[in-house]
Amino acid sequence: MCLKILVSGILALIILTPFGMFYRGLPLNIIDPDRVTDYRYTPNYVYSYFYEGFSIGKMNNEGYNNTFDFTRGMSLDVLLMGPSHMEAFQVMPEENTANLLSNLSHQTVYNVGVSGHSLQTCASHFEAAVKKYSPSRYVVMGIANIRLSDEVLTSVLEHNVPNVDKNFGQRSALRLFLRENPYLRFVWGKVHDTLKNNFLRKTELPASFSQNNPELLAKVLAQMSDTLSQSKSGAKLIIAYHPPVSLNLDGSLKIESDPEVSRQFSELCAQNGIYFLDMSERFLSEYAKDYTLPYGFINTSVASGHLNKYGHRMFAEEIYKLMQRIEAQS
Amino acid sequence: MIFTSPVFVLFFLAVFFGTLAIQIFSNERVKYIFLLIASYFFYGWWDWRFCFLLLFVTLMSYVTAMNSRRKFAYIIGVAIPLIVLGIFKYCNFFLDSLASLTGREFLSLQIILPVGISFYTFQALSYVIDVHRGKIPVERDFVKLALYISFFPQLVAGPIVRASDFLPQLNESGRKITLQNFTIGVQIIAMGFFKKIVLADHISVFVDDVFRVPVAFHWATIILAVVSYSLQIYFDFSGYSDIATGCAKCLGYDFVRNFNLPYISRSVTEFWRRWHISLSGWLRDYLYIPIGGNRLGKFRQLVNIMITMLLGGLWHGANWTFVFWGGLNGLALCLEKIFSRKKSEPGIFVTFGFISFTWIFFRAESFGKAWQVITGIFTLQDGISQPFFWSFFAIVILVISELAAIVKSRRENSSVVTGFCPIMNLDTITGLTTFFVFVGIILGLAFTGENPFVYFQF
Repeated sequence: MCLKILVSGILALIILTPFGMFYRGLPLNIIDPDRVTDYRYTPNYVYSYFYEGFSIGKMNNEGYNNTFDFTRGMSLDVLLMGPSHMEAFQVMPEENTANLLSNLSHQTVYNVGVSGHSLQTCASHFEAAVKKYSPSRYVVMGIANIRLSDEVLTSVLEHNVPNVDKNFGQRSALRLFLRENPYLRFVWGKVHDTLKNNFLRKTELPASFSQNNPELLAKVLAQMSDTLSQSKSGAKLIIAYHPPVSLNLDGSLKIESDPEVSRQFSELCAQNGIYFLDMSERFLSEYAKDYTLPYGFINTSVASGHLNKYGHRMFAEEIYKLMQRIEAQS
Repeated sequence: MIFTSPVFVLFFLAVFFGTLAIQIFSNERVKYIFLLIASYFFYGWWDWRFCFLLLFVTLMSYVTAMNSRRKFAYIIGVAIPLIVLGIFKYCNFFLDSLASLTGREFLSLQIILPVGISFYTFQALSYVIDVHRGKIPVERDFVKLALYISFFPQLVAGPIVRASDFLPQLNESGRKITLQNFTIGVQIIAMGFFKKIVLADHISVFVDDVFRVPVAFHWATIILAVVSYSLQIYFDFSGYSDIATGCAKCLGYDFVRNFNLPYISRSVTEFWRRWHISLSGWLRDYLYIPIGGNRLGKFRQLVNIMITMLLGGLWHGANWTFVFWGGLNGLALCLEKIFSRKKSEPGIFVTFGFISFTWIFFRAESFGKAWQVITGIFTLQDGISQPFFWSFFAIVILVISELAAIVKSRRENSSVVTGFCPIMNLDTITGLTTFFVFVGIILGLAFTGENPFVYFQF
């Protein structure tokens, strides 16, 4: 009986592996030796994702979600940084911000967005990213959160922002075995999430605050601005903010963001020569026009989760409009 | 400790192996005591204080049934579970209703609804009534009676097991954990998990979105959400029943079937023979027939149907939307009784459409929300379009299972289409591999958020 169970288990795993590859066949993350990001993915990995949205694509030679490979010395116009929204595993490659922006602007847009890389992580890697890629026109940070605690801002200034993936050091045989098989990797992730939800105390959300600390935020923004000036690439920094949304009980769209925080952020950006883009108005107008939502997919909740293809389109269009305005000004 | 939580899996494994050990090394009585303690532990996981309520209802049923030939004891035996149910479930509801009717404020009591109260009080009631009617003998062993009322697989959301079905099983020596029972049980459990955590939980995401803000959605999306809720509640509740049945089977006990492909029904009458069978059977035997059934003429029959369905609606929840839902179903049953020719059967699609319509009132938090859903559909409201993938996936699964049941019943020359859980022979590599793949797909597609069973609230 034990032998039957073992043989059946192996056979089942062989059958389930393609299922795992199709349903959530994402690449493995590996440490980025250039420190442009905390990690990147297996180079040239063909991925398939049906867990939230749907996409099939291939990582480039560096392990970032781009439709072209990067070679040293290559001339790039725009460098796109950001978290999972910019990584964009939820939409087809031709529908993500990087490719849409590239098509609109006819510029080379290189995307180094990876999950978990919010503003503070991008800021901590900003210098390395600019040094390595030397974009000639823009660095765009696509972010979903502009409320940063003093602790977070201080960590950026003191160069000790926590690593996004803390598990690189754990190389147990079990972990390696689980990582190698797409089905086991995917199920292990789910089991881990379920156990975390059931047995671990949920992390307390930080206490709400009315504004970011202006001094600390200004220093962080100045740090990035200085980095860009010193690089002599002539590139400008755009921080593009796409706030979360929800539906009001009367059916209207609610922007889940404090306009005061956004206004303060915008002012501080302007003081430091950084362009700030807030997507709130565009999200509201698209919804008012034909109920288009920037977040959510046909297999998940509406108005939540990651940017969908409409969200990416709006985002790319607004970034492009801002670029046009900047070009006109200069 | 809901069935789909890791805590329950650990709990069930402990109970299973504990029962197996007792079966090998000790005797039946110790096994019943162990299962009883386990059941109270399971119930106490929510709130240990309600174990005393459960014990009180059990004790009263035990004592009154012993003396059920005396009318007073019988009345007490019936009244106590009803009073408990009334206080804990309906007290604030009636006070609030009275307040809104008279425009006066009444004291609202701080009462927590004990989980599963609607189910175990009905089991206690059926025991007392059946003993009084002479249908079953008095159970003199308190442990067995207590185990019948509190047996953990059916304790919090049914099926409502009859004493006449379960107590005899406790007196059969052949009721044991066996490899055959276990292999059948785990397959039924797996099917229940598939229905609950793969289908119902994913659909609930969409249904919750639409029913929270119906005014934001396109009319076609609202229709899809209404249909989706019909599927969600079916997969949720029948999934729960499957897990309960499977757990009991693993331990050597059998539960009655609670669902039998309800959405294949050609009439509302047939629907109620296929939906929540243990409840509709209970209402028929302990409410509809005692108040006269069809014995007092056509008009009284219709009145009795309405009373039964209105109270059946109220049983589901202390809210007028549930009463209205019951009333709509009662009205349909009455109309079918009035026009009861075979040719006039509404058919599968009309029945499904009507039942789905009634679920709007079941799901909506208030009549206002239900009205928003209905007006959204009938005014061809514009709004967000959401062709939700999991709804279509669930529809495909439902249609496949119904077609399989139809083919099977035709092969067996059966006049009634009966649903079934495909049971594989786990003694073969093919059977085991298929089962492992099925479990693997469940793990892969499972919804990982928190989503309790719909019927827990009742």
